[in-house]
Amino acid sequence: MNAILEVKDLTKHFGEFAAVDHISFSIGEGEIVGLLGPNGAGKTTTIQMLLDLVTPTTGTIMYFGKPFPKEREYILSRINFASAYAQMQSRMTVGQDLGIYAGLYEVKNPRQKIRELLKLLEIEELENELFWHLSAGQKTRVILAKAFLNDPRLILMDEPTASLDPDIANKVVEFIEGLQKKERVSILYTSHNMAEVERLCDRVMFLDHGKIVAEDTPLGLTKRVGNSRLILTFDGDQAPVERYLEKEHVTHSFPRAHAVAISLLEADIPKVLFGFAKHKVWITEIDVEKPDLEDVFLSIAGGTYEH
Amino acid sequence: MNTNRLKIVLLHTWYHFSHSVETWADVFWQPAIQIWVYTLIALSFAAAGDARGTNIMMGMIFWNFIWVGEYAITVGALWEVWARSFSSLFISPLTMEEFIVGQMISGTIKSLLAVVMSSVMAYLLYHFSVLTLGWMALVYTAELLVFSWALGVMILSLIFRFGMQVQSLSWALVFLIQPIGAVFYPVSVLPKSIQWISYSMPATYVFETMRGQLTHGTIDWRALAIGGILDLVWFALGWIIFQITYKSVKRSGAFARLEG
Repeated sequence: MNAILEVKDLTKHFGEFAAVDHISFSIGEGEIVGLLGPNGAGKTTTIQMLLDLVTPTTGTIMYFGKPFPKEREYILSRINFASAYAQMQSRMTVGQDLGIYAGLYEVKNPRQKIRELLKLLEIEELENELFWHLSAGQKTRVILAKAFLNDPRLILMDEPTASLDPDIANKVVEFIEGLQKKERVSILYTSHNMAEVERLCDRVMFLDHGKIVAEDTPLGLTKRVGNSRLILTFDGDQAPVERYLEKEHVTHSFPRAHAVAISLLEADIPKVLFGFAKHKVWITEIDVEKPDLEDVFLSIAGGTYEH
Repeated sequence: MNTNRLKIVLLHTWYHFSHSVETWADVFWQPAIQIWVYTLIALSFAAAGDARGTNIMMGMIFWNFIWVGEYAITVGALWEVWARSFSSLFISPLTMEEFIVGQMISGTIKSLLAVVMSSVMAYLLYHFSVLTLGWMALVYTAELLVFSWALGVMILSLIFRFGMQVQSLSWALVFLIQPIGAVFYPVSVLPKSIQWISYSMPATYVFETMRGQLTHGTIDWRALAIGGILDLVWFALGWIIFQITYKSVKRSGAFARLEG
């Protein structure tokens, strides 16, 4: 896979404080990579360095094999950025705002491109509306339209769905998924919405105290968090259930009458279920809670993550 | 410097201007009220047989080049910071230099609008015409505009360096130039101890020469030459300070924090 972005040994010190501490990573063509971490982990500083808004202390950034920011104009005309926090000029209409960016990116047939994107994002009727009259969800979609104006090969997205209601956030994610599949654009994605990251990202990097502390596919990361939670509802007495689980040395608790919560590896679930059948325990309901990125996030923030 | 992107910056400024009543007020309302007041002062001088009112009015009209020219650069950037759209502009191929030069050009156009309107008002109210300055008006305009650009980039450097808590400098600091720069009266009336500050500013030479032309009909070319040289020094100094500050605030993270 060709690396669209290659970061080596990137560091940013603010005085004595290391906001980003010797991180290296790359993003391949068509890949969506999540950049996650608690507040203050260094995500925003990393993105700001990737956009030349902050100068790194040390390290190199290469886009398309060219050094950044030395080849700034070539690179910035081929990448883009979307964030719920970076806005557009509020005193201008949506069409004017997007027209300005289309001009800066030297987009061919800018009006046609703008209308296509507005239509895709279901906001065609907003073209002549002032940006400051828009709702948060509408603004986010206009910012997304800006991010796709120049047919970028890479988009950096910093919490693009922050503060949106679930319905609009879902539409935004659907749009990103759709266009990413069609255009094979690479994306570096930060969000605090773990479900969204699991849905979109091929690979996830966790930053903590400026360092990449974990990097894998979403599935690979969650497997490292450990046990699933199996919640069973059963008929009859609790005693045989307890006897069997104690014999098998399985961690468990009884959250309510006729229900048991068992902590175990996902692979051991069938064995436990067969065991209950053998011991004549009648299971009436099975619920499996697998660990997700939220658990990974919490275990990293809590310092219990297994590296 | 990409001329296409410069045109886009100008188009951006026009779109913003066309939707912002506040900006019209800066370009039309404030100069209009000021020229009205100064015309009345000039009339009261004239009633007492004193021709110095004309000098004051001329000073007021040409002051707009400094005020609007500087303001266009600093407040042009601030409008983007207030809208939280400033950093987005520089995530595109647009460079800071192109943005600043675009603001200089738009400042020139805005200040010309303010000066033309003030001049028309002065003619209608006082029968005073700036055309009495002849072609020299262009020389004065050029020197004052370059000075306004220098002030603009210097004040923008201060805002970049110290953040939005000093944003009011963009419309307040330039007024320090008015008393010291001998806009309405000769340098000789200033206390001796601060006259050297006045003589370090190109605007002083322009206004002194302008008054000389209006009063005696003579043009002090030597003073204008000094003003021109000082313009180059101020502009070069402003540009260097701006470049150093821009690099420094990108290193310190202050540039990215401007929008909060």
